[in-house]
Amino acid sequence: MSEMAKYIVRRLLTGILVVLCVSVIIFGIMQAMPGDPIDLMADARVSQEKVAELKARWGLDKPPVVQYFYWLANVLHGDFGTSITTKQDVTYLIRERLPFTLQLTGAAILVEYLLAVPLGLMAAVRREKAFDRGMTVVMVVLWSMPTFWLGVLFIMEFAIRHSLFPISGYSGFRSLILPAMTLALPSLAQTFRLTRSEVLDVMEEKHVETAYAKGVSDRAVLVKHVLRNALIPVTVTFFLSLPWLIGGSVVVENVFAWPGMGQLLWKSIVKQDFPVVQGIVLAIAVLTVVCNLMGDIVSGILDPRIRLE
Amino acid sequence: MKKKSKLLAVLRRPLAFIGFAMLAAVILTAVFAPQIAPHDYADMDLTMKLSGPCADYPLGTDQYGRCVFSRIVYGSRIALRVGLIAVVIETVIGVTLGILAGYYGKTLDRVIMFLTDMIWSIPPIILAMAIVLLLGPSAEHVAVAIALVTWAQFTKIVRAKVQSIKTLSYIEAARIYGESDLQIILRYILPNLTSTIVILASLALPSAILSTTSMGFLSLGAQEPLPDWGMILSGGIQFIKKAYWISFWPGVAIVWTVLGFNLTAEGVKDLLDPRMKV
Repeated sequence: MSEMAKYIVRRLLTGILVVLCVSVIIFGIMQAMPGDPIDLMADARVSQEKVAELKARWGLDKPPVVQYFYWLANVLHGDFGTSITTKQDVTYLIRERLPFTLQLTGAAILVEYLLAVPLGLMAAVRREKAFDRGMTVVMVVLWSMPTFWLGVLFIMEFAIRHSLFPISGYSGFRSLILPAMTLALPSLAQTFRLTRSEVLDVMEEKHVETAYAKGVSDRAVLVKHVLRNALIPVTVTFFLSLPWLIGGSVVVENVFAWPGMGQLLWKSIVKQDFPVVQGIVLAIAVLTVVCNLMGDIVSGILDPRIRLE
Repeated sequence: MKKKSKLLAVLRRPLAFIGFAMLAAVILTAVFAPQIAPHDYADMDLTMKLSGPCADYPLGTDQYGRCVFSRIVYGSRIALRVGLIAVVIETVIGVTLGILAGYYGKTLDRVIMFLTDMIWSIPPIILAMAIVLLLGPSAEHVAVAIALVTWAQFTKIVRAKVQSIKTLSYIEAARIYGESDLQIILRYILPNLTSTIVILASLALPSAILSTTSMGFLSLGAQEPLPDWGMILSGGIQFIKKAYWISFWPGVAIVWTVLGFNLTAEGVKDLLDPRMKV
């Protein structure tokens, strides 16, 4: 096996182990909650025998460890159980909501990188000049902003005062713009900082000096020698930041009543709808592990030194 | 450099100075909340529902006729307290595990690193929500939840630092003298970590406060009638057309506080270890 293949397999196995452990944690948290799904669904009219029978059918009369394996087997078959409040299939609920969350986070990550990378590069080139200092201050302010407040400001200014965009809900592309901007702007700061510091690091390296000495134009040095190397860590964090954005989307979806998973998660937590919470958290964990894995693979391809660690 | 002149050096950096001043204002507001606020945070005046800013209610009132300004003033106590508790817990967990992993290495190191990988494979706010679901919504539980999902950033950096300190010759000497692991850790390793821990904690504080307000926004934090900034803000969204002030001003308070902490933390980092990457 090549070194790269070994590296990927190792990361993949770790990823699977992580997901398994996460599933134990989530199951443990839900197990620690008072009452089980049958107790919560059944009201006083349901007889004790019926309750016992249902519990036996779902394996809820077994010890927790056995229950975990029942649950895991169902999950592996794509069955996350049934919602306590709506009686709908959790898998169906997630499948219905997931595209909206991916659409929102996808748009946000696009906005984030399209703004942060050029700005970070410009700031690094104009190091310690007015632009760089100004951007640094702007970024600290953005970094200090709660997404939900930014969302409220956008709603006040662009949806109510100028009625350019809908206030909330999903109604096509126009309704995506405000939530995506709200999600993207506060996390912009991190990518900006990373790009700036990586570019500064690379600019000090010998091969860049050599390129300048050979008489290569400033622009060509910047694109071919500096940006190319500086973007390696930036690309890797692209994958790593996706889960953070999904986390952030829980809040943003609730500001804009965006019909994604985050809104469903919050509603389910408030209503204590455990099967739905369990399903969503696990789905997000899998998504995160996949993103981390892609980040690892990409960094392994771009930077051979990492594979040897 | 003497301690006093170091402090002056921080204050000479304009941004750090502004941050420190903003922070001082928040702390004073929290301490003197009863003197500053014109009303109690829970006082309702049902004849004054959703009324705009006036002399008696400087920032207007909410849907129950409560003074928004007074609620924000008292809310600073919740934000600071929850943020501080969270950071103390996360520092203790993160630093302890980081030292154990870095000092002992081998299996213990692998187990701890695997734990941090696992924590990082669920977006923090989502795991925090699950933990609060388990513990029940309250300000203290939010602090615990945030600590439980954020300690890993301390662990990684402390571990790396301990790994390099461990190889220093005076640690080797101490071991030859027969000092126990605990003595070595407390006497030689921990003092070397002080500036790292101070930097990490001061950077963790603003993000912990930001997270607590997010949890408050999702009404998982302090419950009514307590004036949690995030909760005041989310409660106002449904009245945003008629009474923008309910949602607008708590946000200003959050940005002010978090920005104050962030700018101060940058100053602390520049002072103690400008090249540290976090």
